[in-house]
Amino acid sequence: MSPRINPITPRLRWEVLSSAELERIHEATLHILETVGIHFPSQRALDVLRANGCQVDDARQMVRLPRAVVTEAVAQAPGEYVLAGRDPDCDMLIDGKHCYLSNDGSGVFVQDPRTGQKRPSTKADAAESARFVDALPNVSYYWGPLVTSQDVPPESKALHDAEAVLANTSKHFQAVTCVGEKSARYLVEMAAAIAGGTDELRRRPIISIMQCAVDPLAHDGPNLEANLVAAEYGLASGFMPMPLSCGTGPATLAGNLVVQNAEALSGAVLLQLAYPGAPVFFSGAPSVIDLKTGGYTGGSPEDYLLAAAATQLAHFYGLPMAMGTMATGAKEPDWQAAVDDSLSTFASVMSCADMMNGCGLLNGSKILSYPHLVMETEIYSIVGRMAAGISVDEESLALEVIEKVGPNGTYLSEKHTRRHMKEIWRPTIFDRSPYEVWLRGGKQGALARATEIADEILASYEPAPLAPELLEELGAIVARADAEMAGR
Amino acid sequence: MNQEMEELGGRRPRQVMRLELLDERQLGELRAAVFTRLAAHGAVNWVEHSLGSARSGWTLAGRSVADTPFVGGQVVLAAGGLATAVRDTAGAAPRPITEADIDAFCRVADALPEVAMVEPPCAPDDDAEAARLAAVGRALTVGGKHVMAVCGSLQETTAVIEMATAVAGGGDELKRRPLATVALMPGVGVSAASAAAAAGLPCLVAVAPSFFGAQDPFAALAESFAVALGVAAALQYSHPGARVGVALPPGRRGPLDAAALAAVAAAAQLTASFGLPFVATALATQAAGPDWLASAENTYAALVCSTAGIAGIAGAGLLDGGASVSLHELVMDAEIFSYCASTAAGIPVDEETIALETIEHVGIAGNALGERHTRRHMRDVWRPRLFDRTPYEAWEREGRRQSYELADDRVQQILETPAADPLPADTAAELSKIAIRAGRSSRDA
Repeated sequence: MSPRINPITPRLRWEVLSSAELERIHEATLHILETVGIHFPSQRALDVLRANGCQVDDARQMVRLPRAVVTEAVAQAPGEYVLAGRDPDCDMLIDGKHCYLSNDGSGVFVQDPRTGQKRPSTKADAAESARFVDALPNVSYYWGPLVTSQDVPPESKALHDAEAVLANTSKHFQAVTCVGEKSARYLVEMAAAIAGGTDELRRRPIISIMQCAVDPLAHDGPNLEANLVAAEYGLASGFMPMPLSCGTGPATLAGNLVVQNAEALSGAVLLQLAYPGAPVFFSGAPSVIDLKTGGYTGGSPEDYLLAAAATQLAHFYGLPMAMGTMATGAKEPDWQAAVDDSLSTFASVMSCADMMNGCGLLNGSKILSYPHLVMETEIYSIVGRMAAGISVDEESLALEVIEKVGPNGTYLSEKHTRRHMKEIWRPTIFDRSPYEVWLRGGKQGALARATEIADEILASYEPAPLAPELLEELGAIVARADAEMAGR
Repeated sequence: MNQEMEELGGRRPRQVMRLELLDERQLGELRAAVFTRLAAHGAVNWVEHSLGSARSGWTLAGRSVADTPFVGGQVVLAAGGLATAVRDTAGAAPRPITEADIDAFCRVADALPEVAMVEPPCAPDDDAEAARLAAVGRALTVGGKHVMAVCGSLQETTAVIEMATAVAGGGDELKRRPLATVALMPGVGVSAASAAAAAGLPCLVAVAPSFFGAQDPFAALAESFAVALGVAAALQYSHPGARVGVALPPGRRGPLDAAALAAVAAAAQLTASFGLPFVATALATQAAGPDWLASAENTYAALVCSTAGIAGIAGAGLLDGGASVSLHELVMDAEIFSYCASTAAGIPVDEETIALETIEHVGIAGNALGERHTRRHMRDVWRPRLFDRTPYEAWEREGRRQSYELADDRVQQILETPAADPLPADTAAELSKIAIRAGRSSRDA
């Protein structure tokens, strides 16, 4: 039986920054935290930070974090933990050695693979996307939702998203639309119902929470409060800064890293001060402004350098990294998407980003395309093989076989070949047919094959179901949330 | 030289990022495997000693463009390869190349700032040498960039030298600014390399491991590397200080195989350990058109090569595993190269780039757009030519144009612009005569 999830364990490493450069960015970050400070618009957060020796300006909700507070707090965070799946075969050991791919998140449209037309996403799409991700071993966990439920009350949308996802995948769920304390407590209640109580949830955390930071040098109040709830229950959480060079970050990449690092670090410090030893992670999706449009690039060489460097910084603090990966700006699964996705995945894997979010969306994380998602898992698979490198030992140098075969011989029937031929990477959707065969088959390339695979999953795949009484319980929690938060 | 060329020439990124495929132990084992093979010929000490005088880099001179540094750690792009077919559009079947196609290819390559040298494709001919020489003649006539001439014999190398001498304006001038590099085909003797070295032309010796059969790529690499090093060492022995490098030639690439690509990176490390530059024909995608497959294959190839310390990535514009060329693929490969080379250039970290003052000045929830620091550095940001970054609705309104169509615009614009700085007609005629004469004597031989 094939494995439920398929992480990459990279042997090769790509180091964008030297040790001295990491130190320099770390020092610059401490300087900014100590002198400029961070905006924490949450009374709870301000109280925690003040109680632990930070300088708090209540009127401006500004906090200056002394270096000793920062370094001591970060040192308490665990460098290794498990993100559990409802199915234990989907457990992910987060240890700085494995890279796990998720889907992308918070898309708002679904693209018809045949007409190319897009339509707004619904709760049914969120559910279908979870079922789809559950089927693919290369996608180790579900992040998001992949597309949001736009046909439900906006105030309780995150909980409708969670209901759709938890019922349709037994992989780990990292929620990204859950903001505010109330919403987070309902989400924890839903996960605890599935896990068998909050203690059991703490032991096997089947959910985690990620929030965005506000660039530059700020957090959003409801986001802070949701992550404080996660930490209270022992659930992993983190903040994702997205500074754009030339806009919300300096034009130079080193300066962008200082801003990104200050935001991610300050969030982790708050969680450690509130709940010492709570599992936290760094995150990031730093980029540059597109100088033509003033918008988000949706992929550029700078993005990948920043991604690899930010991952190095997370590991410098002994913390896991959840890095924005793939998320091409292309509008269709085309040439541009392949360039973006290949480089982005390469950078994340070679720097060993623990979590990579993720695949499936086009147009800068807005449009879901299932064939595109399948094609991105092929790219992940290629990078996985490359990251494994080449083994050089007596067996792989194969001197005996070379001597035996000699000049102009063939290795095809050698035992050595039989022993190793299955190690060769084999494509799922890459087209390697002879030209004439390809022509006769109507010039069907990778997109056609990916569409077939996507159709097959959508038509026939069934995830491990949740017990009916649990489905009912989740429904009841969401109904209560609707009533309390949305007045329905 | 237009502004675009100047801009790129002035800031051709150094390859700071390194992906070391082999650790010290592995590199040592691979070198030992090469030495085992050399020892069989009692050549270890002689090879090591001779290679001591080899140059680790030089400049690529062009007829009408600025010189380009050619040295490991500062990667350049070479367009073309020995294809004999062309695909006119994305879905078109391959057809035989004509002289007009070679001219068009050289003109497009000339206009792309990313391309540093051109290996012209050639017309199909029973006499492959004559066809290659005719193509080199066209590349020197139509294009202004450095030409990489693949040579299969001493006679062919001599003809290339004659042509380059005619264009340079004499042997001394050619030595001063060598306009062509001779890339020897596998198995070509030392005499051809010596002729190139005597004329002052750089020479690339081919390694031809079968990375793509059932044979272990590493063993194949060690085997063919020993032969190439022998030739390079012999050249240094006869012409100390000659410009010699190692090349992985076209025509050996199969479907993308991650291990094979890794072996290319390993070959770069191995070559660098002997102090020689390395050129790999790594962009010969198996795809039939500039599509998603071509993009994924060539992106990996370009990125791995850019970060492996390779001096030159060859094969831009090739399709069908190197059997065809496409002008659109050439333009798109140049974009991929630019993207990957910028990535491999890394992140400079110093007082100016850390920008503490700017971060303090912008403060919380501010914007760096109006900062002086931004004005100083905004041009460092990579800018695409073919990547579409328009809002979705604008893209839809404009007819959902794909990168291929943007590449087509670029191709048409280049071909519609009159060629700048053509070779004088009498020199062009002389090149034709040299090619015809060499072809005739090759057939007679």
